[in-house]
Amino acid sequence: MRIIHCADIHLDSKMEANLSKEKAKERNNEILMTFKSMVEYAELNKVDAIIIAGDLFDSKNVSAKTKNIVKDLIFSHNNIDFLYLRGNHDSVCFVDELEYIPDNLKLFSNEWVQYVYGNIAITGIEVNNNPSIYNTLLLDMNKVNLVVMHGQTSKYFSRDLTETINISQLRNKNIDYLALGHIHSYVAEQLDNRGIYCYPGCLEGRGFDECGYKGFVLIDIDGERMAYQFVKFARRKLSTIEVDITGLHTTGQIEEKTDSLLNETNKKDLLKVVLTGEVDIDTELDTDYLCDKYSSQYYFAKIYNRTKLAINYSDFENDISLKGEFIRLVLNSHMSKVEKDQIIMYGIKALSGEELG
Amino acid sequence: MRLIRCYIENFGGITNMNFEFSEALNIINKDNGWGKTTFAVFIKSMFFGMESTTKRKLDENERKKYMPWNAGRYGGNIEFEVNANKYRVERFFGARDREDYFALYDLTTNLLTDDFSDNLGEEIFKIDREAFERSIYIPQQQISVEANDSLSAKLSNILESDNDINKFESAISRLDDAARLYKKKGDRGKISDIESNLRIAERELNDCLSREAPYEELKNLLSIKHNERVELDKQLVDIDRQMEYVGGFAEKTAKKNHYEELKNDVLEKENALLPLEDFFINGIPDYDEVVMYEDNARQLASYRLTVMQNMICDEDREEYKRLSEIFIDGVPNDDELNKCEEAIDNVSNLDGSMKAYILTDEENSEMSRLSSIYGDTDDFELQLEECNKKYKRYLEIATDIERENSNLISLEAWKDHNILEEENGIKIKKNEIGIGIAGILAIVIGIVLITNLQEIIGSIMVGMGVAGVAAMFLVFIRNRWVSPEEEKQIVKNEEDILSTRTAINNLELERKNIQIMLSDFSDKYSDRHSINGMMNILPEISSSYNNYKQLILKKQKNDDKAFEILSHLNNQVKIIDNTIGRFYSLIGFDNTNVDEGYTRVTGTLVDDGTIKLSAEDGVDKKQTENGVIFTASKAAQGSRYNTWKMNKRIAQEKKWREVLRTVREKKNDYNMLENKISIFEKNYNVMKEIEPVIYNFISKYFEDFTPTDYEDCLVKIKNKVLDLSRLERERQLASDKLQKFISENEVSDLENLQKSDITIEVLQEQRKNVIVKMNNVRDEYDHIKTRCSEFSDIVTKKPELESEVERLKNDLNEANAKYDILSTTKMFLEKAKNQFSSRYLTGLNDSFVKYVRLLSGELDGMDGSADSCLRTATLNTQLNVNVEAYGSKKEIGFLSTGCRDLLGICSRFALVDAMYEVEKPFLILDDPFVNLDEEKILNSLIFLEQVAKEYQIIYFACHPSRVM
Repeated sequence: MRIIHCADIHLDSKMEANLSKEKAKERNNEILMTFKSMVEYAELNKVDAIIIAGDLFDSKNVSAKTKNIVKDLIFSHNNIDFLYLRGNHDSVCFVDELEYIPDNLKLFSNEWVQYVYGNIAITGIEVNNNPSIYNTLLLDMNKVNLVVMHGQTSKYFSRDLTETINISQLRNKNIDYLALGHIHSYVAEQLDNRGIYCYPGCLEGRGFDECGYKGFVLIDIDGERMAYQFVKFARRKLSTIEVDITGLHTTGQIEEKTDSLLNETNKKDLLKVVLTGEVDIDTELDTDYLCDKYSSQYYFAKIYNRTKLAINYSDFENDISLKGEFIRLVLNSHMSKVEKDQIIMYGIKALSGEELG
Repeated sequence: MRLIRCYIENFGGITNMNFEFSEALNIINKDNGWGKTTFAVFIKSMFFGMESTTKRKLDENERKKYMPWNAGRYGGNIEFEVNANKYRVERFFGARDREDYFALYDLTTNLLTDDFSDNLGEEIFKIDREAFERSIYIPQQQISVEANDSLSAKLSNILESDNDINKFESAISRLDDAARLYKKKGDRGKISDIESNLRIAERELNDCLSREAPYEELKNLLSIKHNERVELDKQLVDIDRQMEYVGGFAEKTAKKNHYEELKNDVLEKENALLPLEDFFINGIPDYDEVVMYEDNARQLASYRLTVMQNMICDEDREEYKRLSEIFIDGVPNDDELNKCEEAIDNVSNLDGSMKAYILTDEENSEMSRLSSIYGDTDDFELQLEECNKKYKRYLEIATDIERENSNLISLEAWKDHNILEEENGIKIKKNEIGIGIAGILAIVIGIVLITNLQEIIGSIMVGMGVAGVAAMFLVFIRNRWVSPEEEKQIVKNEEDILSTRTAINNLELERKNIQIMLSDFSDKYSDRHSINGMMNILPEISSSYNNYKQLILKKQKNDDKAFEILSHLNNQVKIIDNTIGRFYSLIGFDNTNVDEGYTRVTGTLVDDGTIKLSAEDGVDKKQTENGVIFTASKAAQGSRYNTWKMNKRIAQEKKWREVLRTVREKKNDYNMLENKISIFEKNYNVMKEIEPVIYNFISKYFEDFTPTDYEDCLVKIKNKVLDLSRLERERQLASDKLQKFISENEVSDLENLQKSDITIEVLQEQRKNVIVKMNNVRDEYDHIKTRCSEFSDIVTKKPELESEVERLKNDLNEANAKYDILSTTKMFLEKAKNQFSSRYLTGLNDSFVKYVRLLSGELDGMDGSADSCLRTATLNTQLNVNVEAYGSKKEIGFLSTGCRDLLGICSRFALVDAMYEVEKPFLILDDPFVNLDEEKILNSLIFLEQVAKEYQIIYFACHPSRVM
């Protein structure tokens, strides 16, 4: 039996990558298309069931288009079981609005629900504030047991039980694969001697806090033997590249170094370049130029200048010059270090005859 | 710093002028037009050079304006002292700056020096040309000071010309430019654009958010209405069902009866199936399977019959075994046997053909006879030819003898005649010779006489001699001279007579020899011997010999043809031997002798040891790789064949044909037996294979049966299968009808059919009310759904609007932050500049006040309203002079020209004071006091004397009133 484990699709979601309205809309459509592609992948690869471990939707307001596409996907792939467990974001009454629940849509509730496929049992619960859920989980040790939940793993009880999964309480419960959702990056770790727990991460990154490869986990169970693998599936990857420009003096040099660090990125990806390090006071850096360049090369690009000014303020304490007077004035002001650096940088550049952009 | 002297070669209207400068005050009081301003510009140009410009107006183009009037060299030199060093600068100018000449000499060494470049003015005074004009050079007009970067820099004591104070203005400009990208006048710029977009996005988002709650309410309402519709649908269905129940009671009763009939029908079919199901308790076979077994049973019977018909006895097997041994090397097929028979026929026919090529007995007898005559003679033909020749010679000899005899007679006659003629011929001959001799003597004598001078006599003698010789010759001619040849002929006649007689004798001898030879020849080959009959004997012998030769030729031809036929015969016999040779023993046919005789005539055989051959048999032996091959000669073949033909032929053909017939019979027997055995075994094996299968199948359904019952049993099974199938179909049909009825009817209602209490009218009224409610609820539902859809379109835009608002807020924050940074930077830069400048303002202002008081005579107790104004005058870092009037700072524009000039001069001196704290420069004053009244002029002159203590002053004036 082949099973796809996915989670945190967040259809109709707000984009966190500082995208324009048009691009945000486009990305939302892309997330929906990726979900659709995943189902088609399941069809092609003879996958028997898709576990959606929460947060299929982002909010209660889901567009009719999204709901219809998801509904059509489930209805049109009746040879695949969709085991849908609602997450903390899934307040949408998607299921309630269906005229009827098709046989291949398997739902969970706040009680343990189990679906059995031969020697495989898929058991799940929508996490609630009932601490006794761990005690009521009873699994047949002779079956291959998959357990589905949504929330943040914790070794101990948390006050917010709705989003917390107590890992220690799930150990030695005959779980072979704990299919989780909530964390937006792929995580697979040992649960106990028998099983593992796994977050597949989200299907597509939405902001630069969701960088890296995104996709789902493909589980292959043959008799008692279970194998799983993470399948990179996102249309676009979000990447944050830190470029230490210490010792570089021109935009050209910084561009060259940045280019060298971008070898492994794909032009269709979303890129965030963070310039770090210490720059000299006379360093020529045009972030607008870099932003324009990478924006034209990538689907989306943004440049963050997080550099610090490599300036020895004591050098200017007794400098009888306008520059010295200016720096002393700025340094004696009550601004933050970052602001002071920026002002000094601009002042020096203005005096050096550089364009300020 | 001070000027020492100068020399102007040509500059404007000044030509070839030397001027010695005093160290303090230099007053040059000359009339207008002398060239004071020109002199001042000369001094400036020696330090700063001539400005390079393309301007056409003379006032704006000094290079052009001060071009020498006399077109001489344009320039001169100035000696000056700076930092305790003395220099001479030489400059000459061309039409363009690249034609300018510059040289700087160190007056201590009088050598060229590079202590300063041609940018001498800026290097010494630390200010540019414009600043020089604004400070050190004090003109008649525009006395007031205007600050520029160079002056400010100088003021700030920041001497490097590229220092940042010089870039202040451009830096501020850049900051302004950068800030303007974010904020422009008229509420424009990036920040304004973002704010505008943000307002729109926020408005849309607020609109979206404000609709969320109503949207939720609408969705709830829609859900309620949906439930109401479902409930009303149920009510309607219930009413309809009741109406149907009430309205169709009779109909339902009929249906109930029909339902009972259907159930009974199903039950009946099931009962009928029971015996069949018992029969097929071991499994229901497929109809096609039973038919297959049935076919197999039929085939089994057929196989059994065939086996019975082809039963094999021991004799058959023995016979088959015997025949198998006979045909152990294979059974010849009919075609082979037919070809063999054809070969036997061919042998017979060829034998007949052979007869045509055999000589008859008469021919053989004649040939034997002739062979006894000619057989041993190798050169008969030569002999015959010789005999013919000799006989012909014999006939010729007779003629020759006759001719020779005739000839002899002629010869003897000629001999007799010639003896007489000879006797007469000798006399004539003697006379003629004497005359000749006398003539010769006469000639000789005559010649001797002539020689002895007796010419006449000699000549006569010679003449007589010639006549004698001539006479002899003439006689000889006339009497035929009897020569030796005639004598030889006579001798020859004698010889001829003799030889003819000899020839006649020889011919006679030859004729006799020929006679003997011919006689011997005829004795040998003919019965006749007469020489006279030889003319006929020789042709007869020749004819007999030709007959012999023709017989030999005919025999040779026959032998060739016979050999050809025999080769063909040999092939035919080979075919026969190959086909039936191995069966000769079947009839006890010993072919050894036959073959021996036969093979000898056919020419080729292999010595296998059974046939003994030798050269006497006419056989040649030849060693080959296949063994020893014996080849019989043609003659031997012919003779052997004849022998064989006579003795063996008939017996051979009979045997062959007998063997062939026997082989055919045995072959037929063998084929028949083989076929019979094959059919038997094949059928028997199949029978053994299929019978148990059939038996097992039938035994599932029957207990007692024999092989003869197979087909009957299977027919019964087949019929039962058909019955079962039919009954099952009928049962299924009945069951389907029942199920269809059940699915189409509420059978529970039918089973519990009871008469209803409610009337149809009441139910109709209820139905009407429900439909009205349904319509109302549906309208409400549709309305809410439409509104819901409208709200949904807006509400579902929330994620992208939130993204947009957040992005715009970020952008706005960034833009504002950047704008603030730029503004703050500008503010700090301006503040720094002011602070930096103000550090030097105190000294500047003190100097200014000092000079004002000095120039206005306050120091001498001067007083007045204007002067009180002057006392309040101050100078700021921008070198603007302000005065206090009526309690407030005012610009000096409202003061008189004289006061303004005075304050301007003061600010100039204050400026120079501030600029040059150590090394004081010279100052050029180009009649600046022209607007002052007499009192102030006096004060000014006093002022100059005071200042000249500190500065070298070059003061130009054009009127004695402004000269002390």
